[in-house]
Amino acid sequence: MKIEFTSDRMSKVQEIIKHYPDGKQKSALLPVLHIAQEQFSGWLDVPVMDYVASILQIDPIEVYEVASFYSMYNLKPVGSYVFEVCQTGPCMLNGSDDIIAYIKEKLMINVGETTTDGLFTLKTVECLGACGYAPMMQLGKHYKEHLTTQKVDEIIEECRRKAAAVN
Amino acid sequence: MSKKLLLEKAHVEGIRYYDVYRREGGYKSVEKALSMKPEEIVEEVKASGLRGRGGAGFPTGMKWSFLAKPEGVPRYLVCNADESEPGTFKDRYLMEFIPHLLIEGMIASSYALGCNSSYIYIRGEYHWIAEILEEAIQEAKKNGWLGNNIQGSGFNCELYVQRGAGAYICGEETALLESLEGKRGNPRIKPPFPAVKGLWDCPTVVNNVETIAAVVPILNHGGAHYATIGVGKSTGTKLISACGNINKPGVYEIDMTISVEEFIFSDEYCGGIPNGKRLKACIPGGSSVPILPANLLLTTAKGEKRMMNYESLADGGFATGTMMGSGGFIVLDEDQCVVKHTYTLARFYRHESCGQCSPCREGTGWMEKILLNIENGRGKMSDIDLLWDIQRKIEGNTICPLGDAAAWPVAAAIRHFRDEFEWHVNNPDLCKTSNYGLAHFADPIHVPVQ
Repeated sequence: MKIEFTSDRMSKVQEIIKHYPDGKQKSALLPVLHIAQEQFSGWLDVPVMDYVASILQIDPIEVYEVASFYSMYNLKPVGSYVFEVCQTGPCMLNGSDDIIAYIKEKLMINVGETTTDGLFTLKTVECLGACGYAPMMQLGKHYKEHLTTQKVDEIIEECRRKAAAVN
Repeated sequence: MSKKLLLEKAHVEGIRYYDVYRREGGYKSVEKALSMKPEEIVEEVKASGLRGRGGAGFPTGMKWSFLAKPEGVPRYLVCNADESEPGTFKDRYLMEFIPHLLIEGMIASSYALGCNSSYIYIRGEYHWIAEILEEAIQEAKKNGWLGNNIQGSGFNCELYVQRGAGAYICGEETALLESLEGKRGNPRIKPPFPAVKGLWDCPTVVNNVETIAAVVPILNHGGAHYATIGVGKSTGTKLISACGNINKPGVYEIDMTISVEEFIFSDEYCGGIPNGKRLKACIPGGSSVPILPANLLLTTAKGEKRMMNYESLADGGFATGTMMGSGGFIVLDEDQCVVKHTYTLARFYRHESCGQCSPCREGTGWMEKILLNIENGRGKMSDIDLLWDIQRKIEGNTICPLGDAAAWPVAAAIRHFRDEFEWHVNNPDLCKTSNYGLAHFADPIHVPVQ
């Protein structure tokens, strides 16, 4: 597979580079990595990072060191739906431990693992700024808040339905 | 009822969109600003007594007046929307429900500081909020509030939103600038301060979302009027994000004249503790500030009622007081375990340490491991002193305040709840199934062995 942004994404990248003074295109690195991760199966493989480096005219190492620093970039494959469950203080006070345990049992995976059908990955994350709506998780672009075991069931079902519709 | 300056219109239907926002009086502060000299605006902000709302509480007008203005060098305004301090979700609320307030504040502030390109750096996880802001920027631009020759004033300004990618450290202003430059979020050594050498080595002001938003009412009503709201050096209003064990978690705008007791128990705010449980402890300003047991939270060591403002919360220093911080208000009821809660915070700081400074990189990991041992009944009595020793060696010995932020919660937990730590050590089996509860208040000296 040739690694190349779709033309929509490429024009978005070019637009972002214009946000900065001439010669400061490296500033676009974080947003461009988000775009890359979105297009290339939710994670950043080395050839993808090299491609990003070539677009921004920087050394590949400058991309690797950034991609490995920020927790939103995945450096290994993930499932189609990544459950990122918050486990920090305020969520813990509202039962995030039970939610994490329930998801592990329900999907039969541990934290950091992906289901064998490649649909779900479970991650625990630190505070996502939704403390008043705890417990919560991030799923794609959005937050799922006030989680209960029933709500987790519904979310899983919804993901399965969506995946079936795509196939 | 507290006076509202920021969220007064937050629930007007359609306020997210330009037409409604403008109809409700939006963008008047920009009209006013453009008719003033930039230095007059800085003076208004100074007169308002506004203090940075991100956590440090530094006077905003003073920060603005430090901005270097060398000839021919661009200056930048960067809004810190990297809200990541556990317990804090106030900026998110403001940006999600009334995004134009931030845009309006950014334009007026950019004019005051002479910035033609300004940035809002928002935490990467707030993806949908970044899109709300981008939409609002497009609307503002279409209506002549951004771009070239704004409202015929000759002032040019572009505003951009940039998402981070999951790093608490980028809330520290120099780490934020590094990140905006496309690098790892490693804080810089200060001086030089961003006001002299910031984004791309140019003079830069970094302000929190709520701080920038507060510039709007300051310009609309005047700095002197803003200073009459609140008490002492705690002027204006403050957004408090309340969470934990309370009936009504959410974001509240307060004018800093109410007591902590009223804030927790009145129906206008948190609405008390669920299920009739009793208050055990509270972290009133985001996870970094010292936890206080209920007695010291509600009443200062001097016996005065503790109020929801910078001075009163800090009364007693770290020995018996805490801090206003970011306004992330975390309440623990009698069933919560302080050791476990402190462990989750220690884990958070270990995860978020950038790794530059050894005391923080190593110390946060050690604290996490020791706290987990104590929580799981595998701790030794000497571990408590070891924890104390580690936090003391982190505090003040790092480039940025993350070290302090990691040390303070551990220090305060041991200072006020040492008996609970000792109970865990003395009761390695029992502590796995039951809780120390409020024994602290009943008998603070005697540590029961069961």
